[in-house]
Amino acid sequence: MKTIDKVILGANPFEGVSYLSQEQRTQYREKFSKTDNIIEIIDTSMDFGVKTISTGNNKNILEAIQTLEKEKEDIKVIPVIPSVYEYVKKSSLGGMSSLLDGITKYNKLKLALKAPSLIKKGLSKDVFGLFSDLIDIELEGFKNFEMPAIILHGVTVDMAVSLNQIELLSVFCEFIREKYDTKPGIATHNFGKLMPIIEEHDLDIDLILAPVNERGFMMNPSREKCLEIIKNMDKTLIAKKILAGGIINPENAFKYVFDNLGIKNAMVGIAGLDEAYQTLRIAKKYL
Amino acid sequence: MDELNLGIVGLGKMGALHYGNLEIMDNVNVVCAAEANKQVYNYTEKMLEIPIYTDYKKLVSQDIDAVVVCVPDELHAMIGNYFAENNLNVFMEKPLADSVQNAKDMVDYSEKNDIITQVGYFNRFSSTFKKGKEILNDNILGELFHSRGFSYEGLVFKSHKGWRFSKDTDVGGSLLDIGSHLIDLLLWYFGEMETIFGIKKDAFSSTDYGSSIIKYKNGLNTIVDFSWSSHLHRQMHIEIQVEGSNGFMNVNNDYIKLFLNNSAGNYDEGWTTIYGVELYEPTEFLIGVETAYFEEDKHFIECCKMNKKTDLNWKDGLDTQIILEGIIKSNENNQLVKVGDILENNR
Repeated sequence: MKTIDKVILGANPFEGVSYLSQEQRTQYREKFSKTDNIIEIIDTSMDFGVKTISTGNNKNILEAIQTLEKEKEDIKVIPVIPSVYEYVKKSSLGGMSSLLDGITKYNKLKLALKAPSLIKKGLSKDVFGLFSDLIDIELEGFKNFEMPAIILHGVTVDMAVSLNQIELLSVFCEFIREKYDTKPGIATHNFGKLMPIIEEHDLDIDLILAPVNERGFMMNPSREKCLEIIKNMDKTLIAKKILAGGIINPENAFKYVFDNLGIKNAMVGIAGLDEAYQTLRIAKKYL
Repeated sequence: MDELNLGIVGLGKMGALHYGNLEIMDNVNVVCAAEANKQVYNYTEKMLEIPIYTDYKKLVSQDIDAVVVCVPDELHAMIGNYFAENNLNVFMEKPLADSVQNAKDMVDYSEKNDIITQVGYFNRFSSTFKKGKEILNDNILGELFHSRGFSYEGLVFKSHKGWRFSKDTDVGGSLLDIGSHLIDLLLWYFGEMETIFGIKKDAFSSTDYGSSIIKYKNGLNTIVDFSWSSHLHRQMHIEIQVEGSNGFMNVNNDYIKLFLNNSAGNYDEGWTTIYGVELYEPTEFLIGVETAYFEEDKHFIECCKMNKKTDLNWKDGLDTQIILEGIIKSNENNQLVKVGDILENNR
């Protein structure tokens, strides 16, 4: 069984995400438009023993991992798919129909070339077909990497839950286990609301990626509710946003997640070498 | 009213977001929807377990108390007025309409039929902008002298098809799409406006870049700049800077930065930065990262249940529409526009 590393490098800074300021987002976008700067951070992280990176389908990041993989065979990748914000942008520009059109047209062609039997089954003709098409498109760039898990993006998960489309999560998990032979996981910003729903529907999901931090940042519907669930949880939880966007120092963040709450896995984003030394020096104690 | 039944018109990006928010709320049931686009209809009809119609008028055949409308701007008045006439409460995505005349009609219909209305300027529900309003209300900055407002996104860098981007039927482009959020916040922060001077540039579609100088009745000025073709900004970014006799405030989607000459209220002399992360309040449900979308929907639902006016009703939407039209008219005629004249010309 593939194991999940204790500390995972997140890719938010590489993708220009910051919760603190527009200035920081611009700085990240500029810096990480150069693949070498991404390589430098991942390389340093690996030297500290953090060998798994979790990322969306981002060209620069995948290029960086590919380059590093030639020297460091033990690098692992946890994809978080689909690239929701790219799709949101596409739908803003061309409307929802052009987005649907793009996905189905692209993959009907691809499936016709690679898997005519799936076409015959009519998979690409319905909603679940569209969904599995989307997964395949998104994972295309990851296929040569070792993937200890594949995670469904939080916006997709939360949207599915809110629209009573829980079965979509099951379909994702089954599809990932069968076709990609790895652990399926789901991300959420509604951990406290989602977990009882998962229990109620008896969903077979291997791991959950959710915000956990001392400030309660993005711990919905309340920090207390999330903590109560964490206490009795039997599934693998990967804590994210442990630094609450950067307002908690790494020492307190890791202590809270690993020592106080007993969570086994955490994800952390790193934007610079100083930050890498400061954060990973502490992370190393827990590896 | 304990339970509330709703219909949604338009199942695109915003329609799906509101649908998700509403469906998760206790004692709120989304019972029907309408979607005119055949392809989107086909997918949603298979996916969702509620009746979906291609004609929005069919929604009134269902037992509903309110509707949420997320369709192209030019359809807002027709659809909003139809539901108002049928005595249904209406949440209308922003901007309220595509013209002052249509926005005014909507306000008239809503008042005549005494319905509860809201318009989707969600930034009023964001933690940083709420805090900024609180700081202004508490007079922390002293007398206000001057302000600057920016609304940017990096979305349009080539010509696109679709109602939003047409150069032929100038629908207001980035002014209506994201500039409207800024104008709504400026009205909320600083009150009634008196004169407007506006310029714009059609680079890729309609009104891709634009600026305005606005003067308020209270003597304050704002320099406004907006664009959906900003290379610097990938996501929507709204920022308001205010200079006052006791210092300065910069408020945007991420933080509030204050510089005070003298301590005031709970704020010390000198620099203070409060990040949105620090102001974060857990929300019942969060789709994406912006809690304000859920909070605006919650406000509408609470007002419907209590049968009271929302804090952001169609009259507020009309006030914003007047300024948007003022900027467009000023650019067309290359002259200063008086806000009072815009409404007068639409009587």
